[in-house]
Amino acid sequence: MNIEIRNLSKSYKSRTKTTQALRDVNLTIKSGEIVCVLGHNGAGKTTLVKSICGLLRPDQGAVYLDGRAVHENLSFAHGRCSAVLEGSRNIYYYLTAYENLRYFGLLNGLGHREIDEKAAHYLRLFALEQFRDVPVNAFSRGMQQKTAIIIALMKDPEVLLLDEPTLGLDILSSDAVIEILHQLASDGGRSIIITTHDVHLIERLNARMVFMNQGQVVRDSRLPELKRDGADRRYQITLQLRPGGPELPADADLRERQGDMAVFETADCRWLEQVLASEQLIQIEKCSQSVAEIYKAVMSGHA
Amino acid sequence: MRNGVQLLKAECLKVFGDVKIYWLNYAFGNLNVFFMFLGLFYAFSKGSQDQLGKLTFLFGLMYWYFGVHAVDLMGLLMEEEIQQGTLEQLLMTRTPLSASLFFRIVAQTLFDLAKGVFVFAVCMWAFAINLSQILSLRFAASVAVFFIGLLAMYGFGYMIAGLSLVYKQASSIASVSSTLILFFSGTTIDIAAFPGIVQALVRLFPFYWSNALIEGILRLDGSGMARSGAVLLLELAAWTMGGIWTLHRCLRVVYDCGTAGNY
Ligand SMILES: Nc1ncnc2c1ncn2[C@@H]1O[C@H](COP(=O)(O)OP(=O)(O)OP(=O)(O)O)[C@@H](O)[C@H]1O
Ligand SMILES: [Mg+2]
Repeated sequence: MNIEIRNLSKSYKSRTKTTQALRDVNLTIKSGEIVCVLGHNGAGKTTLVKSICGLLRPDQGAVYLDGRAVHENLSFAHGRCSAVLEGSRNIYYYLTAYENLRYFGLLNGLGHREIDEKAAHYLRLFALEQFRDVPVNAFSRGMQQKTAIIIALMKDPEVLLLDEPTLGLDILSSDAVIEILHQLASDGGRSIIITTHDVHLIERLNARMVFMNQGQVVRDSRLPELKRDGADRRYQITLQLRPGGPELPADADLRERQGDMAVFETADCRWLEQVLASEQLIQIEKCSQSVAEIYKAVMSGHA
Repeated sequence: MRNGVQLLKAECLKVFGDVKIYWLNYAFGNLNVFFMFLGLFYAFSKGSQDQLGKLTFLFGLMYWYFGVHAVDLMGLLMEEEIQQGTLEQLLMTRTPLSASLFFRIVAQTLFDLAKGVFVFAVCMWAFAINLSQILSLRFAASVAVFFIGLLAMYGFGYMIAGLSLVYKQASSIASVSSTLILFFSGTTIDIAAFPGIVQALVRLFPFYWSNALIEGILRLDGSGMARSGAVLLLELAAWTMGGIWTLHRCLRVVYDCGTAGNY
């Protein structure tokens, strides 16, 4: 399903203040695409996700699913989107895992057979089989999160919205999520939007990344491109420090220091030119940037 | 239809899940209701030889209990949904909130009804109401009216549910309806005893008319039955539409403010 976000603005108003959570956001997400939305806490990621699935009505602009405005067609949107929202509050805590799956399955119009088959499949996939009949209030945080994800998947949505889906998940479960997401995107034309702070997840999804800051989209690019762009400009330097010689650059990210020898990374080209002329330089290598570094660079406006 | 059955199954599942966890609350809650019924019944119809009067009164009490429950529960259910954070997930399903709420109340009522039949039977026995009264067409018709009246109360419940979404504490408003129905429905006190303004107000609620109609049916008193029936149906329609409309207006506020997920 194609998602069009046009001039989307949203503010939260209370008696004492108004928080502008989204400012004129424009995005197009094609069916079959996976998009990671990144940004600091409070950047507006959750607000964006809720606006897409129709849980929040925007002040201005609109979200269109296959050309239909979400807020004029709420039941259409609710029928086609699944959203796992942040926190572990997506399930009835006094029902068992299976009862939760069954309850939401029935409300989503699935038949009994379908519910049982899908529930068995996903419970096995997420290693929850033996906890099928345990009330979810006895679940760990990660187990609750997995139950919520299963509910979202069982609906077989055309748009899947996951707000910090791997929060609390162990590495195996998080890998299972990643595998399912790739599968869903590739074989069904489903659009998937994920907000996350999990670098492992971002790395493994290797997808389009939308960076948000203070309610605005500040960068929209694919991870491989960002890596390439960043790597072109970033170097690992091994340098012998001498009194009177150049100091370390301001952005130096120190990796090792032994006596007067320092190993660090930098993207400061002017500083490099200066050092290239000196005799202190022992080794220079292009670096591959980590996701965290890319994130920091983009958010600080250096990339 | 299939859809309705499916939704009812889902909500029964939820009610039973609830009972499994809070069975002690349920048990004592029921005991409480049981004694209250016996007490009220004893206080208001002690020594009366009027068999039909007693039966009418019993219907009134039942209506009071289930009607209050419907209204109360809608508000409480919404508050619980918001508190738990599941409301957003409920909104995101392919079932409209008004439908899942309706079936949740029906499931709860079915569950309560099992108790209701028991309490009804005990009261009949304890107060020596003749069994032959029960095995009649009149009784069946009264039960039907009872349910229509109850349905109309669900409309009121929708309103409370909507207000609970926006004002968070509306279930306390609902508890007012408890006293209102008990004293002003004509069950315990003849409403002719109240000032005109109260009488007019009482007539806005379906319980007055369903009680009047049940009494008419049981006493085979044709006068006013057509009127009671017509007004009851009219109020059923008005309250249901008004209730659903209110619920939707309130949902709109929730979508505007983004408060579905926080309490
Ligand atoms: N219900 C609300 N009422 C008032 N303000 C809100 C509400 N929800 C979010 N906000 C504010 O809107 C802004 C964006 O919040 P949002 O939850 O979208 O951020 P986020 O990017 O998801 O952050 P995080 O990474 O912490 O989850 C924040 O400043 C937040 O304080
Ligand atoms: Mg968030």
